[in-house]
Amino acid sequence: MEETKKGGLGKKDFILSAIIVLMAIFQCTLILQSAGILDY
Amino acid sequence: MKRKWTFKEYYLLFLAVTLLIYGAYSMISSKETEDYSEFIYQSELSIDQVEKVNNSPLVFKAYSSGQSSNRYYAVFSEAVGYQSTIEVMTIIDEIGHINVVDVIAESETPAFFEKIKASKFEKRFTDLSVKEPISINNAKGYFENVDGAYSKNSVDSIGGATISSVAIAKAVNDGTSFVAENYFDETVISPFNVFSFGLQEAGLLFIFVIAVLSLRIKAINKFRKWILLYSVTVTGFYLNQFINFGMIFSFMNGSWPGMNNFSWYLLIFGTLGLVFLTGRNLYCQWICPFGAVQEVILRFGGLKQIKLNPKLVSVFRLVPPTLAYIALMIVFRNHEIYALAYDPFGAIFNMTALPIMWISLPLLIFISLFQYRFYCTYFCPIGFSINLTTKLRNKGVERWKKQKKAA
Repeated sequence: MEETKKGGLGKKDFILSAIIVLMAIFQCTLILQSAGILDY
Repeated sequence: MKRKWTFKEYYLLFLAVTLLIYGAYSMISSKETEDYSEFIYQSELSIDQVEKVNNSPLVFKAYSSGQSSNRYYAVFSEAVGYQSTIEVMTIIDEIGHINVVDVIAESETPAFFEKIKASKFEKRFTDLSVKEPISINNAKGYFENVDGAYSKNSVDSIGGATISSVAIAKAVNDGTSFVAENYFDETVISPFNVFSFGLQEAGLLFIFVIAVLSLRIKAINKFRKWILLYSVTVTGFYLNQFINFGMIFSFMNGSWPGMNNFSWYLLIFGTLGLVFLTGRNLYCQWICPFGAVQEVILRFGGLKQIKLNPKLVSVFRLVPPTLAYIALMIVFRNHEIYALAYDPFGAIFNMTALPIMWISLPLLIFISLFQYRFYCTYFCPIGFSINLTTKLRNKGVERWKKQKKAA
């Protein structure tokens, strides 16, 4: 298995977490753009 | 023994309390009455004198004293659109013809409402008579005509913004009917508040029935793939019927549409009804077309599922309430609900969205190939709201049963 002994987190966890964070940033941007606070 | 609260519970409580306080403050601070007469003066009719003659709906008599001195009635009315209440001003001349229709407030999805603005939809009402009902054509699932025949006193709806255009027509009709009845002695029957049940409603009701039956008839689960495909193609792409955040907000603040929009009631009350009756979130499981899109991709794609570490899952499950919190705070600050339109439903099923959604959507669909309902788990405000209601319902029932047992 990929999971490391120390924290139990593997490569796939980091990649997926990075994607979730990126998507969350996109969603925030979308909220601000929809509200007219950020330009698009 | 009393259970200790978790960090997650404290965090959600903090969000809920601050949201309630700010929401209440925002409601109180927006109570200052707007000066509606300004809208009349700003119209193209060079009006120089107004006199309020009715409060609900708000009606003014307006006069222009230029070369042609005219008398008008200006009526302000509203109706619930796709995700917000649309406020409309209609100015009627003394023979009962509409001169001006102006949308004075709305918070519809910008991408949809631009279509209405671009096609100058408000101009289509010019010269219609207020002494007859004003109906709308080409709007599936709405009462299109009066007495089975297309009325000449009608406007064509805007494709791709049907719900908003119907709401504007309904608001105009509500206002003009009042003016006709009170100042022109004509009774007008509204073509909008009539209960209508057509193909759209039947298609949506079908998937609700399947969801209920799935609890009793386990064999239905064997056809899950195909039922999900129905949700995607029929309820999603063909009927465009799904709950969005704006609908939940409208429901919570009491802005409910007319009974002609039966699908709205079916989606909201059907979903809530199933939560309270069964203690399960059947909407996300069977009905939501976007949830179905992701599951269909996973099932038909046939790739191996990648599972995220459960500890991380539990942390990232705080993303949906956090996003919903940010959006709602902005809504309370701006008194407009544009910020709630951050879901990908409009993009995928109506092909209308802001540019950044066109970057997010392919990514969401790609991840669905090896992640079970990625959007639902980490981002969806609808799923979060329904799951929270389900949890609260189940806890309440559990407590009630314990108390009953103890008694």
